Amino acid sequence: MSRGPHCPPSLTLEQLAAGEAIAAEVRAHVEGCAECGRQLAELKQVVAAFPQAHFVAALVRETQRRAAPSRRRWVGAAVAALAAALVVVVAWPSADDFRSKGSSAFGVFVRTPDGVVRRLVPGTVVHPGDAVRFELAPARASYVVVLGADAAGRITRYEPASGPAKKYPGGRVSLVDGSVELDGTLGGEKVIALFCPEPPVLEALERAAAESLRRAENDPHAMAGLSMACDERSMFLEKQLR
Amino acid sequence: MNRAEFERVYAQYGGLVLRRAKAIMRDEAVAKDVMQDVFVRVLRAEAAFSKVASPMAWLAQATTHECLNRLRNSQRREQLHEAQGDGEEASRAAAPDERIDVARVLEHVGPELQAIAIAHYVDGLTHEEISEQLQVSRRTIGNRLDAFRRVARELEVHQ
Repeated sequence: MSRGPHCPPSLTLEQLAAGEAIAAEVRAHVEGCAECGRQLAELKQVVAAFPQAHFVAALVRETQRRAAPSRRRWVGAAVAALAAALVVVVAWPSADDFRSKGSSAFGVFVRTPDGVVRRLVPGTVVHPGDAVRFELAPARASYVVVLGADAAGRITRYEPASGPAKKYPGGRVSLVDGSVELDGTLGGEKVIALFCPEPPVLEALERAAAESLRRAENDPHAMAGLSMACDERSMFLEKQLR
Repeated sequence: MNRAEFERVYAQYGGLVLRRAKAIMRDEAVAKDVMQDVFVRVLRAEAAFSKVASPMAWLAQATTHECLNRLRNSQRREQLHEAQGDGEEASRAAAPDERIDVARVLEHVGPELQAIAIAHYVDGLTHEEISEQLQVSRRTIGNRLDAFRRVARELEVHQ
């Protein structure tokens, strides 16, 4: 449906849906206009349905149930630097969103030293010693490689930890064996999950990631895609000082 | 911005940011990546963000900017092509006779035309409103959107 001559643009309706103040005369129009009212109701529904915390809780329970003995790996710099660091992670809002139709996806869980496991959500703060674990949902059976590209210019291979890339089944969620402890390197880290239809050459993927990071002048947020024959998904970790 | 404040902003605006990103990118997973990047921007610009008059306007602009950055990456072209089929949202603001595959056409036009097309087809702005926003004459806006539709038709012919 198109706008009427007095209807405000979409942005104004989005502002209203988010609870922002708008001009009184515009609000009056929206209240009296059936089409604006319909669009506003739809936008309010979008706001109300996001995020759905009970799905997050369900995923955490499933992770705890399926948790295997941890494979601990230390990545990078000195432990002393960790005390000053925290990580803010922006991740997906809910488990139903995790599995998007026709697309591969991945998620991240964190386990604190006292054993609490939670799915990373926006604003989650993790401390030195916390372990991170990856969750994969290939759209179709895929060989999966998970790489990290950090602000120090390093590429870290998280999965597979050793040997060739492992094949994960399509259409269902799998947890990567073992967990990873993040180092204290401050700045951003881009975690890249590559879902490959054929067994990939790991060194080639790592070289492509290193080249992309170099071109981005070690800014993970500015990295381009790796241009490999794999479905690529990414997530950013932002490490900040307290 | 502490964690509680950030979570409030995310809960209040996350769905709207994701919806906007999906309208432009037409790929659920890519739209989530865009949303993620937009909220990373919020974290980075927290002082400036907390002072803006309309967080929604700031987020909408950041989302559009992030989408355009990704659309400029030619590697996305093929995926966008494959993602066609349920593109109602991208054309929501357009008149019923303008059922254009906006996301696909954006791949084939320059930055100025991209900005105008998103303002019209995604933000639902009129020619006059775009003219005011971009400080370009209404005639120019009309001509640019005509050019956008021509590109859309050419792409349709060569599909």
